[in-house]
Amino acid sequence: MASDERKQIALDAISSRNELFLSAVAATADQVRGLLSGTGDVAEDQSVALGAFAKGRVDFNRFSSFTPKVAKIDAAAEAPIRAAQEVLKSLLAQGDELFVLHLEEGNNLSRKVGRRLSLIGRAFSAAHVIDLAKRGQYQEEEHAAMLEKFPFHKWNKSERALAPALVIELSAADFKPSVIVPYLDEHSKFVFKVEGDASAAALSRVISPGVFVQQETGDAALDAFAEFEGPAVAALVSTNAASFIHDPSAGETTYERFVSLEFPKEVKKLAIGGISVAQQAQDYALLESLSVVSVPTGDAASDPAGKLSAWLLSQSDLTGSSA
Amino acid sequence: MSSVAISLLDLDSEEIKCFEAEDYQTRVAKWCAGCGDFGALNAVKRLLAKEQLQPEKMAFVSGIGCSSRFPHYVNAYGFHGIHGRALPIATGLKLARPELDVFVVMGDGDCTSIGAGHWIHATRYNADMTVLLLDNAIYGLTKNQTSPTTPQGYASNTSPRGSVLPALDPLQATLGISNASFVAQTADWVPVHLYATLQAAYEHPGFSFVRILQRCPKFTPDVFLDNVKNPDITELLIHENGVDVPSLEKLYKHRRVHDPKNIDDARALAQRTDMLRLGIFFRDDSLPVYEEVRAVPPVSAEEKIVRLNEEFDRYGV
Amino acid sequence: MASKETTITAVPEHTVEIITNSGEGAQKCAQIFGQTCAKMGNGVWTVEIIPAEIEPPHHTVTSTSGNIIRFGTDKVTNWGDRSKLAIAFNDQVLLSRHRLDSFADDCIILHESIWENHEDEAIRDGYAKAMKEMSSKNYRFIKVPIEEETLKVVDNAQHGKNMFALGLLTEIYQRDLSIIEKQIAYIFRTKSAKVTELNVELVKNGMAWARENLDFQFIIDSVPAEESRVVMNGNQACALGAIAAGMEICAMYPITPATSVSHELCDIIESYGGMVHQAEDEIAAAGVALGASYGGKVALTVTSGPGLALKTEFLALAIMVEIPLVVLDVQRGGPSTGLPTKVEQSDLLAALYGQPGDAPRVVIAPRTIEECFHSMITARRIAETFRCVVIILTDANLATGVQQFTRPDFDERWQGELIDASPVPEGLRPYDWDHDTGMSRRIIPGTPGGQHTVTGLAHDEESRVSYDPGSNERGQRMRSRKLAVFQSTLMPPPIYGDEEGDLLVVGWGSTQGAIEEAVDRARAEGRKVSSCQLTFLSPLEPGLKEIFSKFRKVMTVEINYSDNLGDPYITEETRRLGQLCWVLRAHTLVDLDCWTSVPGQPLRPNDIYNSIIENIENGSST
Repeated sequence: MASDERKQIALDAISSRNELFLSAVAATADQVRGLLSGTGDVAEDQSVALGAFAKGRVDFNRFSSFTPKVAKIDAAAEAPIRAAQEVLKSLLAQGDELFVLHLEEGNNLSRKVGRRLSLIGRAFSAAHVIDLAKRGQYQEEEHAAMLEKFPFHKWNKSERALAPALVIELSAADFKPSVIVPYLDEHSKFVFKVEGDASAAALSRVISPGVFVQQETGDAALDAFAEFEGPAVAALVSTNAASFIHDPSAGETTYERFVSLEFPKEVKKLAIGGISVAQQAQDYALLESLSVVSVPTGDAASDPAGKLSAWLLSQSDLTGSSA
Repeated sequence: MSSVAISLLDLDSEEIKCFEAEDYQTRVAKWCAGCGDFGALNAVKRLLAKEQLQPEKMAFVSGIGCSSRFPHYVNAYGFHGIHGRALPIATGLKLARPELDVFVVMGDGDCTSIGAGHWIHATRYNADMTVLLLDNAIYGLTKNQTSPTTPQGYASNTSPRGSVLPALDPLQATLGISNASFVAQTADWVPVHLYATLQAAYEHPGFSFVRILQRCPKFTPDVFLDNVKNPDITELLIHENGVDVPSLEKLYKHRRVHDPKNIDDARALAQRTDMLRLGIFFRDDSLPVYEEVRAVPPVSAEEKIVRLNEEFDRYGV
Repeated sequence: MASKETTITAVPEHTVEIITNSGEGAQKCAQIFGQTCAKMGNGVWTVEIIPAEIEPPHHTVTSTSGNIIRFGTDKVTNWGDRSKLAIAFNDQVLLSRHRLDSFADDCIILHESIWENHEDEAIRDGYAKAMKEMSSKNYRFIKVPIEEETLKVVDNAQHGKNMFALGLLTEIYQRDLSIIEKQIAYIFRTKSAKVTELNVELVKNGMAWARENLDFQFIIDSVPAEESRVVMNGNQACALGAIAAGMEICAMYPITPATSVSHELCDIIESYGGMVHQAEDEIAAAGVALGASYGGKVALTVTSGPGLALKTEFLALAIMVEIPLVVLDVQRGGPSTGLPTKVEQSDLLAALYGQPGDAPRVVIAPRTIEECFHSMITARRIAETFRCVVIILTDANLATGVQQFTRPDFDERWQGELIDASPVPEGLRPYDWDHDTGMSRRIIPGTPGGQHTVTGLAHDEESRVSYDPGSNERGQRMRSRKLAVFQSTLMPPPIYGDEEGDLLVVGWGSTQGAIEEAVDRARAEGRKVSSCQLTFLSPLEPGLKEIFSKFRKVMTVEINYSDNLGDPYITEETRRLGQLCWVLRAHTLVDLDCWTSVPGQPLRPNDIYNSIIENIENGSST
């Protein structure tokens, strides 16, 4: 499938979360606009806000005495609020691109994700700055830096609830998904778009009881991922890899939560960048340990776990070899 | 659409309070003793507590009638509107505020008579809301007039010699509407079933239509009497994707496994009059939800002005 | 007319009609011609002639479709009086306009020549009868081989005659061909370049034919405008005004002549983050708008008379629960289905008093297409400030009339401020009315601590159903008080002309241009006449009684029905009056007269002028 189409699938999967985030940023920007417009002459504002139709017909001074009073901002507060407003505007201007992280080959995934979230977090720090400025507690030396970056670990609970999802485009050689585990909060969502042949079970590393994990080799939309209420990680990978869905809402045991599981016909036993064959084999072993409860009998072929075991047996020489 | 989206300035980081069912009731409900509306209110309160919904994050919209007093008794935002027209208000609210949980409470006259047009179209819009039809088969507030769901032959102030027409079946009607996504029936005298059905309705993404059969102690005390007394003339529709309450197994011996995905079976079952059927007749979580289909990205005031200027270039002379 | 001298006449303005069967492209021809005039700096007003049916049988008196374009050196504020020049594609559509008395006595009529000797006897007969019927006037008929000339360029004359006609007009009025070429290229931008080429060729052929065969031209001077201007019709202006005002949800149901507002919105509103919801009926459209506004969105519903009637219960609910709502009523002829495509100003009383019970609301009436745009911004502001319903009354004249106006300088402040969604302080009630002003904070769902149920039943400050006399009186008083407070911010309306005299003409809405033109004419003759065009109809602008007292007589001019004194049974006592006249009499206790008319078309300055003269000369004094 073309890379653009996969990017679209990835973007679609995160669109509802990100619209929530962007609309909150837009709402904040609007509110700030209201705050700042309140710094002007009230009657003049009112004469504009009431529109030209009212000109010569409505006494703006009188009318403005009946409109809800916008809290006056004192001069000292205006500069930081304007700076915060600029941050909000710049975030809005980026639109969807804000949520797409393209990792150049060889770059450090963990650091890049951290930085991007830190940039996104400026929406929250902008709100903090505005709040501080309104209350007259803003200190340039102490608070200005917040508008430069606001790392994930500083986000509070309700900010985390609004956290947008990220699409991460990277090459298979850099696909080490476990580094995002520290960012897997109650509301986090990540979609990896992996270029090149990836480790066949790479995403098994992030499986844990509450996390929705989907590794997708086809072109299906990530609907279940998008709708899952909780942390979720998905990866769009090449057809050489396994595809599976681990859905925490599907059952009590890890085994039950594997709602689908498909394996590639064969796997090249090659190191992928810095990811050794042995390491890849460990990914499999992990997937096995998580998804298998007992030795399959009878209808094994139709049972995801059974399929996995059967497949693992067929690949059994994998673990021993080296690159 | 930015005017009411959550603003980052209004976020609060306080820990969320834990709500008990009773926290969701504002005042003592003024329905007649023995009214089925109480059962619905209790089930709803239980549901809200189970889901721990924030009172300010939900809205109850109703029309006019006994049951439409419902919002006044719930600790939530409420809109007690006009007769028959709860659904347009609820649709508008949901379009404006998709993040709110919207509940609609209507009576049988409200929904199936004066509001019938809206009922058809709101079903088709399939906005995500939980819709309770509290059906007591009579106009109660205006004191005993025949409603569309009054059984044929049943006497009232407007049909003293008995209702002349066969009753309208809201399930059959709803199941016939394109894009209907959730149709269920339950009864006030089976509270566990009522609760389980509302739970499923709440979870369904889309327009969840639940007909709740309920007794009016004043005007239709006997309409459901046989069913209340004799569980053997009621059949429960059970399914893993429907409602299945194990505790009812002893009482109700007629239990039918019905896959709510099957619209043909659902319609056939709704058509049959041999027994009263409770459960989820139809459910399809994949149908398009109106406010999602219509959602567009927000645009800032500044950007709007940029676009307006471009638009006006078209009209420039 | 093989050889001829061309007479060139300079005139301050002209009114031109293009009359065709529906589907023959008169709109495109008129649109390009009007735009060209506007670009050249003329004042322009165009009016559509719309048949009631979509595809009426061709070549009949009911198939008439077309446009009237009035343009002049100065600003043009209305469609004027009878047409001075007409181009007609057949005798029957021409006859229909003649029967409506649309042509000046000396009107030049350029009409298709093929019908006179057509092979079909019925057509020949019809032609002969039509020409005979029209012979009572002094029209100057000029036969033009429109179809024949068109077929020299294209195979199907149906799709080309309009451009040939445009060529005739271009030559007669010396229009700038380069502007016309650009307009054609724009209109056909989605088609192949060949289409534009053929259309331009047709225009050039029309010009050449006129040059060779016509012995007259008109010159209408123009002064190119200094400020940037736009040209559009009133419905487009309302739609764009709604967007400029930050309106986010328009809920509507199709109804003529309001629907094109939503067409315009449907095309663009989503790119502004908003939406149009086409509801199942007029009632639901009001309900969805109300529900959206309850949720905090800026909501609009658009309708016309029959729709307004259906929406009344919801409007009363909005007023009762004090949720802001803007209603745009593009008036048409009534009662009942009435005249769907035609002009009337007969929804005023319904807009003011349509609901059972006391339901105070604001009613405003834009007077020009420019005001259609700006009124949306004002309406939103008033609705939100006073938590009330604002009804905007435009009409079919504004809706389809095209006029240029100063390009608006968009301002973010038009889009309002975010609703205060901060936690509701302990003790603040949903209707915490300020007992002087009736005003209270609007609390929308989602606001922490503000949970309450709004109700259409009588209620107290806490929004609890309350039947006690005190609560009911208080609620009614508070809702009414807001109108008085708003009225206190209004200023007396300006007077057009002197502030005292023999007669004051009072109008409202779209009749302004025609009334002022009539007043100008009367004043030029030394008559002491002034006029006053009201824009705020509820609450009324202040000072009216004082203004009226300076004139010997006051009369309203309106496009709605009133009885004529002197008709059978019609006496001072039985006479029913124009709608604004009723309202002003009740409001000021001044004995106003009225002159109204319901021809289904805009009032003509000359007819108003005649009514002014008649009133001054015959009427009793107030």
